[in-house]
Amino acid sequence: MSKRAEKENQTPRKAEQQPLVTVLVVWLFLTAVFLLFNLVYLPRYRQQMLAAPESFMQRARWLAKQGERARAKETLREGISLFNPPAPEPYQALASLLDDADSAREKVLTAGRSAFYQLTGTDCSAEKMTALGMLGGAALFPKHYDQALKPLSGALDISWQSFSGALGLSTPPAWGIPERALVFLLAGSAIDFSGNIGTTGVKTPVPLLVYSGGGADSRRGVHLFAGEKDLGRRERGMHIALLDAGSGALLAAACFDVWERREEGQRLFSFLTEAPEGCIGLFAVYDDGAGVVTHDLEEAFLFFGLDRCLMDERKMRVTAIRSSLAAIGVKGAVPGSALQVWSPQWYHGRRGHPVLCAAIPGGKAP
Amino acid sequence: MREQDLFYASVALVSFLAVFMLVPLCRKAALKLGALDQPDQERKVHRRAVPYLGGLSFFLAWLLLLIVFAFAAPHRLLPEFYPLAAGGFLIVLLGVYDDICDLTSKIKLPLELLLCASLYFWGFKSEVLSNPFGGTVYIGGFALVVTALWIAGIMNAVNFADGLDGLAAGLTCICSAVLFFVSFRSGSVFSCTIMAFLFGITLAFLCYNFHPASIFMGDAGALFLGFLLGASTVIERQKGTAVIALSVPVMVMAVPLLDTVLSFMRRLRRARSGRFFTPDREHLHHRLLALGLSQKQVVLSLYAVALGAGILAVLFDRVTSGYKMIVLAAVGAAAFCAVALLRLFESRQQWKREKKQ
Repeated sequence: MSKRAEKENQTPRKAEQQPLVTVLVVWLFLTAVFLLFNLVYLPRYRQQMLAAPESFMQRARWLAKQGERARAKETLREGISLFNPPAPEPYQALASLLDDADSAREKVLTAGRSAFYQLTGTDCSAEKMTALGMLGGAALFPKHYDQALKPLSGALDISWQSFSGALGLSTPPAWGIPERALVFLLAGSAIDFSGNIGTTGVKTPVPLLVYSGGGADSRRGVHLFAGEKDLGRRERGMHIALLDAGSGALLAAACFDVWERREEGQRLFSFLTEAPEGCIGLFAVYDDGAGVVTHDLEEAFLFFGLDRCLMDERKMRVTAIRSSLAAIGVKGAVPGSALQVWSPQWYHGRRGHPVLCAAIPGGKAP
Repeated sequence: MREQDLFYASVALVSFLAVFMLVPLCRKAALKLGALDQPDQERKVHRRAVPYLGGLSFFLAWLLLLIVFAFAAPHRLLPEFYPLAAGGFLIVLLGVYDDICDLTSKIKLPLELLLCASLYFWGFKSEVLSNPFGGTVYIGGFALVVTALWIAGIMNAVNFADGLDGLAAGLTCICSAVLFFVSFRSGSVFSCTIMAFLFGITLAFLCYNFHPASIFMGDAGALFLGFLLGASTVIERQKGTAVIALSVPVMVMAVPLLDTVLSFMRRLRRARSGRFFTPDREHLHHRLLALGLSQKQVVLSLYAVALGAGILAVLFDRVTSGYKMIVLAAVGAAAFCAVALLRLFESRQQWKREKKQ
């Protein structure tokens, strides 16, 4: 044994004599260090969390308290468009800040969304659904939209069955297609009545409807309607259909199970990159469309005008595990210009839901 | 190198340097306070008094890393980090008390379970279990029990493995490297950060703790390592199917977990005589030592087994769900065979000894 080791062994064994004192000394030291850590770390952490995109509610509340209503309103609008939160609180907060300067449509839509998310969080009866339909039906969908929605009535009906089944919603007997379309709208979906595919500058020649069940609707999955034909299948993964932008003819349709198979990710990458320039792409996620989605694959989605708009593990992504996503894009469009909607898997303990986006040619925007 | 890769490399490097510099200070403090692990003839393998409190450096390094994040990379701060610091603080207090005053398991275990269960309320949970025969089972509030048992189980597994120089630190180092690889593929920032941290601190600690050790991590260190490993693996991965999600860490930590299961079974057998909480000298490493292997040989062979299990875990993560159950069954069978083989060697040695007498 070395001299040093011998010396160590001869060290007075205070711990044996006064173990509790030793424990207390170490505990005191650790407590002091931890308190100091809290003093330094927590203010920085709070500041950071307040600045994080997902903290838009707290930030808006703080801004409203400071009397900056306009900034609080803008923060809430940004947060809602970024996260499409399936909970009533953000819409309630926004509704309380809207004033005369804001459009009547936004007021009705915000109040309607708040009511819808309250409804899906509780027992949902046909009476409550009727009340919801009456709340914004007239303001958001004037009577002549019965006609405008007609080309999609079959697709909307089928999608409604999937949607209401997944969320356990009752359908009031008197409801027609406009009321169902209204509820889709309140759930964050997007319907373009002029046939424009977002801001890509391309008009669709045929009525298009894309429905994504995400993780919430694992029994019914996806619908990709180009005209009357449903190109979706009941299979897990990312469903894509490519259409000719001039005639609306189907070029290709495929499903990619990107949950766990890397080779599917590569196949999807080839499918997207080999698609002809200018073609229309319909995208819908059934259950999961993000498992093996790499950075390159995300870029390939952006070529269709899609955008990274949801946060997964503090990164903006196009798709996230079990979040629903429905999009209609055009190959070669600017990122962010496509018609794209989504709902998270979870948001503050509340489950996301299926979403839908549609473009109907021959109408005009309400 | 991508920014993300650079970030993980920095986490590992900062953690390594922090522990490398803190351990000598902890050693000095332990010597001054007389917090030494005295050798005995019953359970302990070392032959001279070795200072405890090496584990304090892990906790201090974690706090230091969070402070570095807060100032140098605030956008990297995750809400899950603080609960690990607060929970870790209490765990380390408990470990220090156990190191110096020898806390009985009757008190320690419920306290550990309580602390681990509290993490459930911070979002550390898996509420969906996968059914091996297909589909998933929603366990809801029962996830509280799963969380507490899983984290406390891992903590005790690492603690049990802390019986030979460099064993617990080395096994944790291997586990964290493998789990980092698996998490990196799935893009889990939280898991990758924790694993890079664990890899850095255990590697630095091995510089002092590998045979012959100049410091021990003690219960404070082992429990904290287990706490971080358990908590970071219980958060839902991918589709939130806990059985499949937890299978990877179970396979990676096969060695300490198998030892824990065997220890639990031994204790159950002894429970009738009221000795369930009494420690013994029959852990895997003790049994391998009894077979005539040197301390270094035992540690290195257990590293090799952990590495093998880690490679299997990576394979498991790569195969499709159809093959996952087959791989799980194969791992279970391999563990069973390993225990049977160990028993066979032990009985052969016993027989030889009896023959000599």
